[in-house]
Amino acid sequence: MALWRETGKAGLALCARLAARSGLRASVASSQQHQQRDFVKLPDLSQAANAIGTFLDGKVMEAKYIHPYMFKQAEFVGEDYNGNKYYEIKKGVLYGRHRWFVPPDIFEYSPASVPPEWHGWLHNINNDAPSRVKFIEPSYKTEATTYKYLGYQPKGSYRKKLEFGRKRNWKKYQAWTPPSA
Amino acid sequence: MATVALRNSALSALGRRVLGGARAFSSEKTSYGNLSDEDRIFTNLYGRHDPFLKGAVKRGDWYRTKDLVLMGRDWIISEMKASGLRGRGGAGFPSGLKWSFMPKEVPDGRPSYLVVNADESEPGTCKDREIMRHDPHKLVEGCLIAGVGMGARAGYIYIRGEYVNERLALEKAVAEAYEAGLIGKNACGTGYDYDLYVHHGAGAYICGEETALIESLEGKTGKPRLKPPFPAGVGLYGCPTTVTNVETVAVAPTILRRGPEWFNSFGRPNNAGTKLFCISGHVNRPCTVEEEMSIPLRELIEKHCGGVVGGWDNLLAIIPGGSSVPLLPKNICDDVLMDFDALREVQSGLGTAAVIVMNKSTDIVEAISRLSYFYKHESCGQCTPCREGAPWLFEMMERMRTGDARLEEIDMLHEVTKQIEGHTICALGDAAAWPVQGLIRHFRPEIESRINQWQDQKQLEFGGTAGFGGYNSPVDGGRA
Amino acid sequence: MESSRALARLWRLTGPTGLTQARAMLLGRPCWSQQQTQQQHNSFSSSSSSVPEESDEEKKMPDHMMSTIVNGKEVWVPKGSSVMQACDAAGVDIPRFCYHPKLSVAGNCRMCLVDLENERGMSPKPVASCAMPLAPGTTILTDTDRVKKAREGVMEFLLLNHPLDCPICDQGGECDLQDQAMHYGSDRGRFVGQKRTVVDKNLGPLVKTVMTRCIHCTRCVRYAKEVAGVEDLGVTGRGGASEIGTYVNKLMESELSGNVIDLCPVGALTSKPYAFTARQWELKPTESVDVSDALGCNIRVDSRGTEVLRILPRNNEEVNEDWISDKARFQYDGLQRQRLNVPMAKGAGSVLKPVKWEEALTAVAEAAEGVSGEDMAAYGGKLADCESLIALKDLANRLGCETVQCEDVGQGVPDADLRSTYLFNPTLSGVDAADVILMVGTNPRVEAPVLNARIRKAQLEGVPIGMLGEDVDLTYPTTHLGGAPPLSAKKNADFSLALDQARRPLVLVGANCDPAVMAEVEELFEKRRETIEDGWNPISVLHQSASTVGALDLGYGAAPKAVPEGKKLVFLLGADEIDVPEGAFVVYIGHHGDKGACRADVVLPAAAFTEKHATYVNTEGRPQHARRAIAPPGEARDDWKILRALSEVMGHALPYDDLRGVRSRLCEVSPTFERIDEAPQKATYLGPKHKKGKVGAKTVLRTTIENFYQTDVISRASLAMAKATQARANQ
Repeated sequence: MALWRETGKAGLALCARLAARSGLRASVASSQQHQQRDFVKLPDLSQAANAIGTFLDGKVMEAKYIHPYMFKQAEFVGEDYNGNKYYEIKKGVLYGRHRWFVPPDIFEYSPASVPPEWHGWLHNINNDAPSRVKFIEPSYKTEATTYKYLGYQPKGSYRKKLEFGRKRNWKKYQAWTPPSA
Repeated sequence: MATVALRNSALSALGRRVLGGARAFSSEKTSYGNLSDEDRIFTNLYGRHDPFLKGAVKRGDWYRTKDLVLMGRDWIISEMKASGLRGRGGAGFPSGLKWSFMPKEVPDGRPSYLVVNADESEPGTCKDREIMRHDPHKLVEGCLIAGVGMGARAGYIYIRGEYVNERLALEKAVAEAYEAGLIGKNACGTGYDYDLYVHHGAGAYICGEETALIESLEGKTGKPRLKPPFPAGVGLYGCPTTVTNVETVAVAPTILRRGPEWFNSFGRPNNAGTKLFCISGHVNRPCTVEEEMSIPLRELIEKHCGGVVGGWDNLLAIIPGGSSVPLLPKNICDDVLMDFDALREVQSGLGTAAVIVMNKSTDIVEAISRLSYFYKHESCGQCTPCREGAPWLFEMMERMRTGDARLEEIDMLHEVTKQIEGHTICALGDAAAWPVQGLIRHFRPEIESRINQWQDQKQLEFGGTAGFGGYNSPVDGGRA
Repeated sequence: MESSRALARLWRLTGPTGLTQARAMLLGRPCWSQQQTQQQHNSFSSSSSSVPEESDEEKKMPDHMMSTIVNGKEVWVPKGSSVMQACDAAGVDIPRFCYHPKLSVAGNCRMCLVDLENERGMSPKPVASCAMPLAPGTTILTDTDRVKKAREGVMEFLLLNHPLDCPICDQGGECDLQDQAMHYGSDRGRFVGQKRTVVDKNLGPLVKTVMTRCIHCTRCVRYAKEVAGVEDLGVTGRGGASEIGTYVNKLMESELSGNVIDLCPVGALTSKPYAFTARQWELKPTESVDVSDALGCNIRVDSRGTEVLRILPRNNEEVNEDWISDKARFQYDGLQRQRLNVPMAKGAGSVLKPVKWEEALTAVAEAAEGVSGEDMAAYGGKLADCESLIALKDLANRLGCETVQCEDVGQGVPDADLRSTYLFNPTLSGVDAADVILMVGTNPRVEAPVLNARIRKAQLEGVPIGMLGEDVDLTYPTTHLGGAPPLSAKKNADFSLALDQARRPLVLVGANCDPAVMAEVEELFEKRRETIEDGWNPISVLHQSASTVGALDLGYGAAPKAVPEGKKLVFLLGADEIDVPEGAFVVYIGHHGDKGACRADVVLPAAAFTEKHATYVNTEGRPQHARRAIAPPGEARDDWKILRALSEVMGHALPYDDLRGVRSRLCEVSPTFERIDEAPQKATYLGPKHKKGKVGAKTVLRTTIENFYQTDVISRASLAMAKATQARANQ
C-alpha cells in the first residue's frame, strides 16, 4: 500500500508537470536543448497526448518516479553535462539492471545523450564513474559535441535537408566540361 | 651365420669385457634397476675421462666399426629390430622399424639423409647434452651406423642454439673423425661415403619437432609440416629423411657390438634397454643417470638422487617424462615403473625420461601454469587450436592460480584442453594440453579450494559474490 | 611431353622451392597442367553421374579413378585426390579457411577435420581432409560426434581473438567466418579475457588491412608467393603474436594484388576504394567481361542504382582462372568521372556547347555534305566493342569511305584475312601445355598480368622462358636472349637446345613488333617445323587492347599515329590516341572526355563497357559478351544506336534496328561471332607469313605501355589508378 501511496503522490506531481509542459511550453521551454530541436514543430496538443500516453504506458513512472529499485537504496552516482542522472544499486538486483540513468526530460530522451565517459560505467565496461574517477580522454578523441537530437543523419537523409537546408547531389557521376576555347 | 661369426670375432676381440656383466636372459625377470657399471653404455657420462677420440677409443668406441658397416644395411636394421630399442626422443616408436621405412632405392636418384635431433628443449631434459659434451664419439659413430642402416648419404646433427659448449665438443669430435678417416669419403675404409654436418638452431622449442626441425635446417621458419608425406618419403630438401634422437643413435653401435639380446635383456618386454634418466627438482642430488628401463620410480630417486627433499612422504607430485606429460601424484609414484607402457597405464608417459620432482613446498597450480606459459610462448602459431588455445590455457591457469575463477571453469578448462589435443598439425598442442589435464585429474580439490577461498575473500572485501575477470558480477542472479 | 613436365615437377622437390609443391605433387593437386585439370574437372563434375547405378552394376571404373564412400555414399574420384576433393565430389560440405584450390595446401586452419575409417578401424584422431591423400579402402565420415566437436572447437578458437566488428566490417555478408560460424560454431563463446589487437599494415592504396581480424589462414601469403610472384607478404612472430605483414612498411608491388581481397576469408584484407560503400546484398551482380587488357578476363560487375560499386573476377579456367588484374578490379571509379553525358557541338567561338541530339546529328550530316568518301576516315578506339565497330564500318562504307582503321593494332599484322596471324593461337590455357616459351618484345606483366601469372606457373614447373627485348622483371627468372631477333645461339645454348626439342613451343609476340621482327620469329620456327606437334601453332600475339582482335576480325586495319592530311571528316569511335590535323571535321563518339573529345567538333556521348550489351574478342580470338549493369549517364546512348541514328540522318540508313540485328550482321561478317565464349579451333602452323626485313642491330624491343595503371580513358579518369600510380612511383 505504501507503494501505491508513493505512486499517487508521484502521479500528482507528474500531472502538474504535464500541465506545465503542454500549456506553458513557450515560457518554460527556455533550455538550450529545446531550441536545438525546434526544427520539427509539432502542435502542443500532440505533445500532451504523447506525454499522457507515455505516462499511461508506465514508462515515465518507471523512469522518473517509481523506479522499483529506488526503494532499494539506489545510490546517486553523478550527473553529466546533459543533465542525465546516474544511479546504481550495488547489491540485490539482477546484474545488468543495477545501473541506470534518468534523463532530464523524460518525454524526449535518447540513449545517445550518455557521454562517452559515462557510457563505460553505465554499460559495465568499467567501474569508473567519472564522478568518482577522473576521466582521461583518449588520444583519439574527437571534438566533443553536446547531445543534439537527431545529431547524425545519414547521407541523403530527409532530415539532413531540413537541418542544413541543402539537397543531396543525386548525380553519381561527374560530367566532362569541354575546355573553353 | 655370418652375423654370429662377426659378433663372436668382434666380441672376443673385445675380450667379452662387457658380456660378462650381461644378465642371463630370462622371461620371468621381476625386478628392474640396479644397473651394473659393466652394462652402462655411456661410460663417460660425467666427463671424468677424455671425451675425444683418444679416450673414446679407449672406451671401446670406433672398435671395428668397419666390420659393422660392412655387415650391411639389412643386418643393422634386423639387429636393431631385435634389440627392441624404442626411440628415446619421447614418442617411443620402435627404432628398427622406423629406420626400415627409408626407401631402398629412389627412382629419381634423390639421396637419403639422417637427421639427428639434438634440439633438446623439453624442460627438465638434459640427457643429450651429457652425451654430446662428454661422449660425442658415441654419437658420431652412431650417426655413421644409423646412416648406413638407412642408406643415408649424409647426416645432419641439429643442435640447439643454447648448447654452445656441446656444439664445440661435437664439432671437434666430428673434425677428429674426419681426420681419422672414420667418416667422410670412404668412411672407416669401407668404401661408404658418409658426411656429417653439425648445424645449430636458434633455440626454438618447436624446432625439436621433426618436420619443424627439417624446415629449420632448410633455412626456413621452424614450423611443422603436414604429414603425410612423412619425412621418410619427402623430408630434408625433399629427400627421404629420418629424424632420430641423439640417444637412440648413440646407443646403436654398442647394441650392434654387444648384440640385441644383451640390450633386450634389460627392462620389461617391449620396453627394452637402458635409458638415461635426468632427475631434477626437489631431490637432494639432481643428476643424469643411466639406468635400466622399468626401474621403479621410487628406487630411481632414492638410489641415485638421495631421495626427495624432506623425505619421500614430503613428495607432492612427479612429472615423469619432461614437461609435456601429465604429472603423477604421490600415491601413483609410490610403485610406478619407469617405462613406456607402465607410465601410459597411469595416463602419463615416459617422454624423454626427464623426471621433475616436486615436494609439498610446491605451488602445483603455479607450476603447471608456468608450463602453460612455456607452451604459449613456444607455439609456432601455424595452426589454429594451438595458436589460440595455448594462450587461453595460460590465461585460465593464471586465474586458477589465484583462484579468480568459477568452479564450472575447471570443467571448461578441461574441455578446452580436449579441444586442442589431437587437432593440431604437430604434437605441441597435445603437449600444451596434457600437463593441464594431469593437474585437473589429480589436483582438482586443490583448485576448487583456491576458488572457494578467493570467493570468500572477495565476499569479505566487497560484500558481494565475486565473478570472474575481477568484475563485481553476481553469479547467482543477484539474489545473494 | 607430359613425362618431361612430370620430371620437372619432381625435380622441384629437391630444389629450395619448398615442401608445398612436393605435397601438392603427392596429392596430385589438379591445377598445374591443363590436361590434368580438364580430366579432373570432368571427372569431378560428372562424379555424381559416374556413381554406379543399380541398373548397370558392371559399369567399369576407369583406371585413373578410385572409389570411396563418404557418409555412406559411394563416389568415384581421380586417383591422388585428397579426402576433401572426395567429399566435394560427394556433395558433402567441408568447412575450410586455409584451403584454396589454386594455392598450395597449408592445412593450418584445422577446420576441415574429418574421420577416416579403414579395415583397421577409425583413425586415432580426426585428420585434416585438405592435406590427406585418399588411400584405397578408406571410408570418410563427416558427421560423427567427434568431427562436429572438433569443428566447434576450432571455430571457438578462431573466434577467440576475432573482433566482433561485423557491423562495421566490409566482409560482412560474404564472410567465410560468419557463414561457417553460423553453421558449425557454438552459439556462445566462453572466452572472457582480452582479445588480441594487431597494428594494421599499409599495403598501398588498393588493399585495406584490418589485421586484428586476421585468422592466419596464410592464403594471402601463399598467393603472393606462388601466383603473384612477389614475396612481399609473410608471417612474422610466432604463436599468438604471429602477424601477417610485409615486415617493413612496403607497398605490395604486384599488378595482381587485388586478388588477396577475394582470397581473404575474413575482413582482414578488403578493398580500399570500396570501403564502407555498400553491403553485398544490396548489389546487383552482372556477369561481364573486362576491357582493361586484351585477355577479356571474366568479371562480375556489382552495381547499385546508377553506380558500379565494385568489380570481381569470375572463374573461367580457360581465360583468367580466378584472378583479375588490379586495373580491371579498381578502375571502375573512372566510370564516374569525366563522363560525356550530353551531345555537344562546336558553336560560336569554336567552343563545345551542349546541344540536343537532333542538332548534333544534323551538324554531322551537314559537315558530311559534299565530302567524298576518300576524304573521310573512321577510327575505332581501344575500348570499342564489336557492335559499334561493325556499325561504324558499315556506315563508313556506305559513305564510300574505305579508311576504316583501329588504333592500337600492331604493325606486325600482315594479313587480316588469315586469323591465325594475329591471334594467340595456342590459347591462354595452352600456356599450361607449352614446353618452352619465348617472349619477343613484350612485357606480359604490364600488358596482361593474369597471363603473366599463368606463365609464371609454367616457369615454376621448369618450362624455360626466353626473353627477346628489354630485360624486365617479370616476377620469375627468364633467360635474356638479346634486345631483338635473331637469337644468338652461342650465348644461349641451353635455350636453343630446349627450343630445338620443343614439341609445343610458344612464342609470345608483342603486338607492336614490326613485320621484320615477326619474320625473324617465323624464321626461327621454319627450321624447327618438323618437331612441332600437329595442330600446334606457336605464334601467340599478345594484343594490348580489348578492341583489337574484334576490329581485325571485322576488317579494320592498323591506324597510323596521326590522321593523314587532307581528311575532311573523321569519325573517332573512342579513339583518343590519334592526332587529327587541323581542318578536319571530327566526330567523337565515346564515353569519356579525353584527348579525342577535346579535338572534336561534334561529341556524341556513348556508353562505357558496363553500360551496354557488347561483344569483345580477346587476344586468343574468343568472343565474349559484356552485359549492361547500369544505364549510361545522362543522354548517352549505346554506340551502335548512335551510329544507326546518324546513318539515317545522313541518308544511308543501316539495316539493323536492334541488338539481334547487329549481332546477326556480325555473324555475317565473321562466323567467329556465332561461337560466343569459345576459342577458335587450334590451327596447325602454316609457316611464315611475313616479309623479311631488316631489324636494326641496336634495336631493343619493348612494350609501349609505360604505366600499367593508366592505359585507357577509364583508367586515366580513375582516382584509384592515379593513387596506385603515385604509390608505385614513390616506392
